[in-house]
Amino acid sequence: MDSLQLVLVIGLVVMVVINGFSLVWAISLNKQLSERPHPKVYEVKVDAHQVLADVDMADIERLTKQQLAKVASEAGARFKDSMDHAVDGLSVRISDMANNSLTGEFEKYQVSLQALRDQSIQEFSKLQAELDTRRTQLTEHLDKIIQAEGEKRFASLDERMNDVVASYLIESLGNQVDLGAQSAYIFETLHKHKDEIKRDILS
Amino acid sequence: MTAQAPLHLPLDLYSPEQLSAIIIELRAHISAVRDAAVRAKAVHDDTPAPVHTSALLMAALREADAKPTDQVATEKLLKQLEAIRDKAPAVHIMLAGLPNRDLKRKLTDWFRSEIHPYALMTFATRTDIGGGIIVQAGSHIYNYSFREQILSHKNRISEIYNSVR
Repeated sequence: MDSLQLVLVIGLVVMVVINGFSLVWAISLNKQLSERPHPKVYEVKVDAHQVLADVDMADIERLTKQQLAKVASEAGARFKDSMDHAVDGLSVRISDMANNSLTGEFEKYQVSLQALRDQSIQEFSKLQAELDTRRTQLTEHLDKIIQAEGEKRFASLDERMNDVVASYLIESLGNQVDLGAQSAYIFETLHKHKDEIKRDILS
Repeated sequence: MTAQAPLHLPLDLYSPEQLSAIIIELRAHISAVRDAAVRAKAVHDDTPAPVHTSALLMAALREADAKPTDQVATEKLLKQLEAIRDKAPAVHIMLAGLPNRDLKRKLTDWFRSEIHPYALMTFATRTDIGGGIIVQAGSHIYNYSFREQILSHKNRISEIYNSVR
């Protein structure tokens, strides 16, 4: 048996002793009460109709009604004043709340709207700038294409004109050739290219 | 021993075909001369060999300073002509019209004096070149015709047109 079990057994014994003493003390107290003398009870019955006269009862009823009406009237007036004050206060409160709330919301709305407008302006500005840049690029590109096409057409026209004039010149030379008149040109040309002809023939 | 003088071809003898014909004719001539010499020894006949040579052969014999009846000289000329035929450079010339004899002689003289002494030439006509001359030597063609000059410088036409506009 360890120490914990020993402590529990001792506690249990102490509790049994305490319970015993409590039971004995309760029995003694009950005995003392039963021995004390009981108070006498008197039954009293009062008849209001017999205490008060008929006249008094009518006056009392009338006065009571008057007092009740007066009190009711005063209570109604106070209640009306209170209700008026409450309604006015509530109205002012509601108005203030509404004003405050609506003003705040409207300011928020205005701020949001301004932010949205600024953002829209920025976006449109960017878009406008991009459009301007793109338009400039396209214009430059188109100018280059037009210039290149123009030069190409002019070159083609020059080439065609050259062909036409060259063909005309060759045709104009005709078949009736005077070799005697050309002999000076022929020998001059041969002299001019003598070295290359000689080099090729002798190689 | 004296140095052998170089043979001068006559200017009228300009083409390889003419040279081949001359060689054939000269062989026949030498054969006839040889036959006449044999016959003269056999029958003691001093009748000379018949001489029916062409003008070109006569010109070649004259340039070689050889008599037609001189068998040794003609045989020497034959060997020279055969050597020229095998080694002489050939030049093909195209003109806008048919060249006359004088122009052919001038062109032959120029080529033999400036390019090669035994240059042989053939001539052809191309009417579409307008004028000038085209020289084909070996694999190279030197086009100095009017047509080529006009076409190679046709870009100058637009420049001239733009300058005078």
